[in-house]
Amino acid sequence: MPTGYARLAFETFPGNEVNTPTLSTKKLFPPLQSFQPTRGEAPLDRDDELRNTDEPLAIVPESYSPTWEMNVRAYPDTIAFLLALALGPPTTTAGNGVITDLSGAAVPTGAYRHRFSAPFGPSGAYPNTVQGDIGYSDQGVYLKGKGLACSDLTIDTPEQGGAAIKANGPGLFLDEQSNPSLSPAFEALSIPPFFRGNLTLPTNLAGTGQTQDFGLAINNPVEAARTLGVPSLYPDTMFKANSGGPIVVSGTIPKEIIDSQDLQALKSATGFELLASWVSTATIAATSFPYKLLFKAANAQYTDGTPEALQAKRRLGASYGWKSTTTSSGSSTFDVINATASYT
Amino acid sequence: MSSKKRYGLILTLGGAPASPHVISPLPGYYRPDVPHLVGGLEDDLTLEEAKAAAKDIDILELVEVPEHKEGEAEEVAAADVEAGRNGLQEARKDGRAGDAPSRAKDEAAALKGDE
Repeated sequence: MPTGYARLAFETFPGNEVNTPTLSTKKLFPPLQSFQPTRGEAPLDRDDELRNTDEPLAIVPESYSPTWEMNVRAYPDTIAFLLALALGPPTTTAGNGVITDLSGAAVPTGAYRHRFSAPFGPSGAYPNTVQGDIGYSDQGVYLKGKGLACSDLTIDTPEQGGAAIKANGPGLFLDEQSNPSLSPAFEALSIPPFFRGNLTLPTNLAGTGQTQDFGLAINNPVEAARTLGVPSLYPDTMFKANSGGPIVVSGTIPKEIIDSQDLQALKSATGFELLASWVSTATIAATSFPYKLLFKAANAQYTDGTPEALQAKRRLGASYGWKSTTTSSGSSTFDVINATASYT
Repeated sequence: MSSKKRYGLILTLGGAPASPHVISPLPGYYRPDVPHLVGGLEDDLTLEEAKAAAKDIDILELVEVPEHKEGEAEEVAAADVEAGRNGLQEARKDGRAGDAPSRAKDEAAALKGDE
């Protein structure tokens, strides 16, 4: 029976081979479907040297460029943690029966609202990063990753299999460590992930065609750099990337039926409010309030799309890409309502 | 020391949500907010076993449970077991147990004696 884990904790600043950032109190053992650590070895190849040898020359270690990739279902605690990694720390407010979520529902005592509002943080030149302890327990191999940033995070909600998160990004350090002797603790299976049946789009383009699916993607441009700060084969600093622009929330929204309103909105780049709502079947602790994941685009716009080719089919759909934009501020807002008191 | 003193194991995993957690290979569920009672006749761990668990597992702490909190701990434990049983059935139905067999096994082990 396979055993293993990844334990993630936020760093106070991006960790590299030599520094030791303080870790957050919040630690997460996500119920992984997969976690792929890659050290990214790029050895020096010297076959271009004139040494009067007609054979390959020995390579030597020159640089490592770590990356990571994770597949996990959208559990209420996990999705908030990963949003905090990609978007910066949320504003957390304990429910009191007065504060409301993005759908206007009052959040009761015992539940917590974690709100991520654009422009996303953290402020400054550095993105949020985590340290990861990855345990291939059965094989007795343990890795430590530091300065792991999230450049891409997608949420898809297929009809079966639960809402799926894919997250990946670069890191500053990844290497073996001795067994950290961590005991993983996973939330009970009674706390389900968000499902397709939990997802609705209560607010959408007026007159839009019936929706077939909804995909959401966060792009957080980051880059690992070698700033000559420390002698290391690894990069030493994780920056917000100069290229790539701000954090962008976008996605896809295929339609079951072609609709003129959608075609017009695409042509005119019409802005519309979009609210995506995942409301769990499970309730939070002693409350009767459900776990929620809410996303609001104040000004979603179609960016691309085409109607399905005209053909001998009884129903023809269309597919559009959308992007959350703004003319001032406040383009995108995420709310996660769960039982976690803090992500710091 | 009074013989009526009760003890429980509390989950100390930083920032853990106030929900039941499974810690392999221990039976039962563990929370950061309500202790898991041990040492009683109907409890799934003896006090000695709980002391050993708290020593070996870095995210568990043995705490004294005040008498007025025992009832709450018992109620929460019963509710967690009931929810766990349902959750395991649901996970087996929707496939989560299939692609995370070790988790499902741990969960079943956590429910051992209660199923």
